[in-house]
Amino acid sequence: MFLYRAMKKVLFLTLLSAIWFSCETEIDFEDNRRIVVSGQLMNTSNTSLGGMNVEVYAQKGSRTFLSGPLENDVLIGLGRSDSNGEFNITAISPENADRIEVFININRGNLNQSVPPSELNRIDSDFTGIFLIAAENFPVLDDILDIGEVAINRVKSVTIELERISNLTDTLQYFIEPKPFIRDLSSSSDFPSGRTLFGSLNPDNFFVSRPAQSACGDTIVLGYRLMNQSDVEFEEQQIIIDEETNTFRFTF
Amino acid sequence: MRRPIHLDSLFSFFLLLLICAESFGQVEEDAVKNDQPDYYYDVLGSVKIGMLFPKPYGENALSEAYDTGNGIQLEAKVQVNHKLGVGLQYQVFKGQVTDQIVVGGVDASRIAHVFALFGINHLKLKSPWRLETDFGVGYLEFRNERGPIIEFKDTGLTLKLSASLSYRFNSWIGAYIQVQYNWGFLSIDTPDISEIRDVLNRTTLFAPSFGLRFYVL
Repeated sequence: MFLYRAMKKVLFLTLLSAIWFSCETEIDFEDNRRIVVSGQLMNTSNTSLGGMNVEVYAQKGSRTFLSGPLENDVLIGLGRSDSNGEFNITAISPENADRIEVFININRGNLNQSVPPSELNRIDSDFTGIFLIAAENFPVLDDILDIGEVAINRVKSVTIELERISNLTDTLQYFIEPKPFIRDLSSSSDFPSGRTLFGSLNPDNFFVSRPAQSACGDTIVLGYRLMNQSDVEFEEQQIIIDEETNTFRFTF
Repeated sequence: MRRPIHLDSLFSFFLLLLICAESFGQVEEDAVKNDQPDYYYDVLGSVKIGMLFPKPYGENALSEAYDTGNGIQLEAKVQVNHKLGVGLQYQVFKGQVTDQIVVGGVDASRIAHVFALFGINHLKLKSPWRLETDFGVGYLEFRNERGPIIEFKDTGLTLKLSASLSYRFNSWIGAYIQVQYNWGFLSIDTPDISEIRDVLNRTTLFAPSFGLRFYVL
């Protein structure tokens, strides 16, 4: 009888603990308080960028991979940059969030969030997106979280040409890997690109042309190796994308 | 698209109604029926239950970022004498957020006013009609919802001025119509950016209502 009662107590306490810890993942918000997340968006040629969507999220728990907003992230404020590239986003104030995340020009995807005006959910595909963890990198002073000036790169379409000019009769294997359009300003690591192109140039082909997209100022990695050297690692060449050049040629 | 309401005109009409109240009372005196005993008219108090139709206006978050629904109104008033009454009033309605840029990440709010009331009746004792103006001061609460779980609130002070016309069908029940203006002053702590602070903290509301009035002898 005593054992039965003790087991019931343990079960009850376990259940209570489970409820407690499950509640811990929720974010509470402060009564009677708003914060403002402000900043200015510029492009790489130092002119202001208006009309960019800016979304601010609160997050609790660990972020296991870099991506756009996660399912449990809570949208706390949103807006667009004005003609001077400036934005002042009014946001509700999280009490126990681990971090505040700012997403600029990033589509939120299929998150279970309420639907804001449709134009706010549209990204400008001519420019890259920005992700940054705001509260960890910037102090909140007088309820204003100022992330300062943020540069956004223009996305550029380029052509990469591979040409066989020697008498080599081997097949060339290659990959073209642009950097991701979404950048994480909070860390040096990048999001997975997911846009790597693979291909090969057979002995009877002398030329191939592949389109690629990259942000101006970024590099595209071109990896290559000859088939008769399959035990050899890919050699890599960094192609710097600038404003002027539209075509890059690799010869072997 | 919200249809513009000519609230300045309505407010002028409202003031005109108050000014006319006294003279209307004088005219009405002749029409009073005297076939009821005094205690019939000399009620202890009354309870009002009615529908509220809030119409926010002005440059504030409630007007610019909410789609407000109809609400309910409850009022209990004790008559000090046949002219003066004091009581409490509770009003609540729901607002769906249509523009999160203005208010931040809020989906909807339940907006409640609780007033301490001071009212004056402008008509004579022995009449089934009552034309009353009420001044109220009280507590304003926005209970904000974010998703299905998150709730937090914004609170502040609220003032109101109202005029109501009621008719008593028999000893215990009547009906009323009411127009009122509310001015809300929320205490939201915001950065020192005046346009954001003013838009979030001020509310102005025109709210007609109608309903039943129960009398306590």
